[in-house]
Amino acid sequence: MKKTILFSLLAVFMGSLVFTGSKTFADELSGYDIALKVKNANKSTKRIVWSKLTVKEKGKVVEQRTLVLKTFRKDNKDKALFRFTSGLKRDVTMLSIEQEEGKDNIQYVYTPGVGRPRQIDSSEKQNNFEDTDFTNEDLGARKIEDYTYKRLGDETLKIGKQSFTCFVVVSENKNPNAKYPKYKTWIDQQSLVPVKIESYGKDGTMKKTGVSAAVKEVKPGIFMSYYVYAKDLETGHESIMTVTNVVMDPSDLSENLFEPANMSKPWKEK
Amino acid sequence: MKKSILLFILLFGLLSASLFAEEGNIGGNEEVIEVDIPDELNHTDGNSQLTQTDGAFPGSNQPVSEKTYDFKGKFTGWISGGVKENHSTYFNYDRLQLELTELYHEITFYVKANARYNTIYLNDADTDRRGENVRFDLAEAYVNYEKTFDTALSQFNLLIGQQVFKWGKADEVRPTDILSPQDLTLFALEDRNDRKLGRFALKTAIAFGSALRFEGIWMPIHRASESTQDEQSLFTQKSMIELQKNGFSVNSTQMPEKKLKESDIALKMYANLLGTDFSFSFYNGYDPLPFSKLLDPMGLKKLQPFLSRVTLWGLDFERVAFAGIVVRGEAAYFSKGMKFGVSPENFALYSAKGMDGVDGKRFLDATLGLDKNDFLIAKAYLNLQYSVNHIFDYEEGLKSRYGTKTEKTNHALIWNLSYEFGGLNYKIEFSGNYNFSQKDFMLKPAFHIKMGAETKIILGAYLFGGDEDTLLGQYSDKSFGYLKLEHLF
Repeated sequence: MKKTILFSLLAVFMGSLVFTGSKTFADELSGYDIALKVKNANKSTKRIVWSKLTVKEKGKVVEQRTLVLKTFRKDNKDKALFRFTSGLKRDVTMLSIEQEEGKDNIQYVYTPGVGRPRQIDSSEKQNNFEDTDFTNEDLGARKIEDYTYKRLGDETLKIGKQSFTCFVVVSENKNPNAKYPKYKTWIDQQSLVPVKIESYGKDGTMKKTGVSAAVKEVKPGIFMSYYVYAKDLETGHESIMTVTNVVMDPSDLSENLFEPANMSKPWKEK
Repeated sequence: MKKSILLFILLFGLLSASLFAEEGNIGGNEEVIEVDIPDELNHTDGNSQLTQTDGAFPGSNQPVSEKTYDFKGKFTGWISGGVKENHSTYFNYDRLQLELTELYHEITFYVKANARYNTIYLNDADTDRRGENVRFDLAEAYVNYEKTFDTALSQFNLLIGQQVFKWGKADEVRPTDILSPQDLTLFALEDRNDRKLGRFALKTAIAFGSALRFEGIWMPIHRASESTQDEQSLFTQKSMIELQKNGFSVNSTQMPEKKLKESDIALKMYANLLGTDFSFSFYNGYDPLPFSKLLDPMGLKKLQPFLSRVTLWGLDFERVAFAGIVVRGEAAYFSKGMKFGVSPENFALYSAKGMDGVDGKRFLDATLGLDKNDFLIAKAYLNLQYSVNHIFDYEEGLKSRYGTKTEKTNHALIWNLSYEFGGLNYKIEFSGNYNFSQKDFMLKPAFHIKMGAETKIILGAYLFGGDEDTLLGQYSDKSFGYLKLEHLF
């Protein structure tokens, strides 16, 4: 039960199982149950996702760059690699390796100028990844046991042209010093994709918000969002990630790639 | 009648409220969130039926963004002017770096080449022509064969060709990172990895999962680090200039014999234990950074740069510590081959050591560092590195390998403090190096401005200080400010 969780907008890329229980069963689920189901949902053994990242400053587009995400799942543990493939951050690569219960996930960042991977400390989980509005936690550092969960009443959201009947779960960080001690998350009941999230600061006010939309089934029973939006409400900084391509179960994606020593390896995916 | 109507309205209202409240729990009220989703992603019919029946949504399983080759480059241009009295520093330095990567299944072919132009040199007197204005350099050109396995032995690599090696987990000062020669004609103007020169090598690596990896490198061809020798060049060591003023001429670097037995061998074992990444390393080969000895100091007066074969035992580690701090350390123990200068001014020692101006000593070079993102405030970054070295059997009057002042034990602090702001379009940075033992320093303030997705300019300075017989103090009259352009393509 006490597995790690990628309970975030981006974590939808990494799912595998789909929860399709009856409404009665769904009504009985606690916040923790839902978080656990999200963690285990929409998983695939191997996946490659091409995305375009748009960064906005005060509503104005300041930069666009491309990003490739690769995931690998084995023994119910996820490994993920993110690489910028254009812009000044070109070839900056992040590796996230899920650990067992009670241990923080391990994350490394490889920067070409440094020439070797560097570890990221777990207390930096809620820092933004490079200059995006996505935190390291969003990219795979979040652990299910880091939070307590409370389910609120279900709600319906319409995002873009899609409507979602959602579980609503408030998760509170057990660490009182967390940068974002509370999240409120709307999870689509059909796909188990988190489609809206609000991040709250220590003062209780909302600091960040995000939605994921254009949810599609990429393989029977596996859903993912093709559009992810995050906004820092204090700075007005916005990040929009649009998926441009997905390849499921690529035969040439090896687990060996998900090693710190291999983070600098060239990829054919651009 | 009116009462009945009012009662009916009240009951209807209560019932409606009750129903809405119940529906609220199962998704009755619909919040509409407007997002600017690209049309090609927004083609669903508006209900929550997500399952695709035709599998035809755009961008799925269409490997349109794969390339078996990748060509990219980086241009860096500097314009600089001195800030001290005689303004001897004024230069333009441009560097174009091109990289080509080709992937053929299990084989990767990689080439990195540099073209450089600079106006730093007036080097007619440089016998090695190290300072020509235009130069081309093949930094790397190798083939990497990789095989992966679903066994305990998980990966095998074989790399053959011109390669650059990056050893160590520390930052600017990396005691174990001596395998690759460096272009030091511009001193520390460029980052350590950009200064490195390639050398032919055969490298093999085998990995046993993520916990254990071995690396072996054989380098049969030698290449020396390059630095300037003439007085006109900006970063020529003062001790070399003084010797030339005293009538010494400088020979070309004496390289090892071209024999297999002179090959360099490097071994490294990487491991991860209890969340700590660490490695042990061993190197038996020539230190690419030349030492200098005096030939016939009373007669022909020649200064002979040469490579010395060293034996290095190394250790490095990195682990997350606490409060967002990552700690890393590195140590190199030279059991053989490390040389130090002996000045003729200290005649007793000089004559006792054979009057060639060098003496070999065991040497320990170590560093311990930490870094912290969001240091005190968001987007501030701090990197601190404490460096210490120790000369075993030290004798009073020894000089460093650069001919500058040294103590038995030397301590230095290297730091980098930066803060990004304005939507990360600006960065203010203050880095530097202060040696507590010699009290010399180099300060590097800089201001970065992002001009576009792939372009930035940096306005900064290199400020040197200390006595003129110290490593950094010898350039104290050559402090300069600069404007640097960096563009990726």
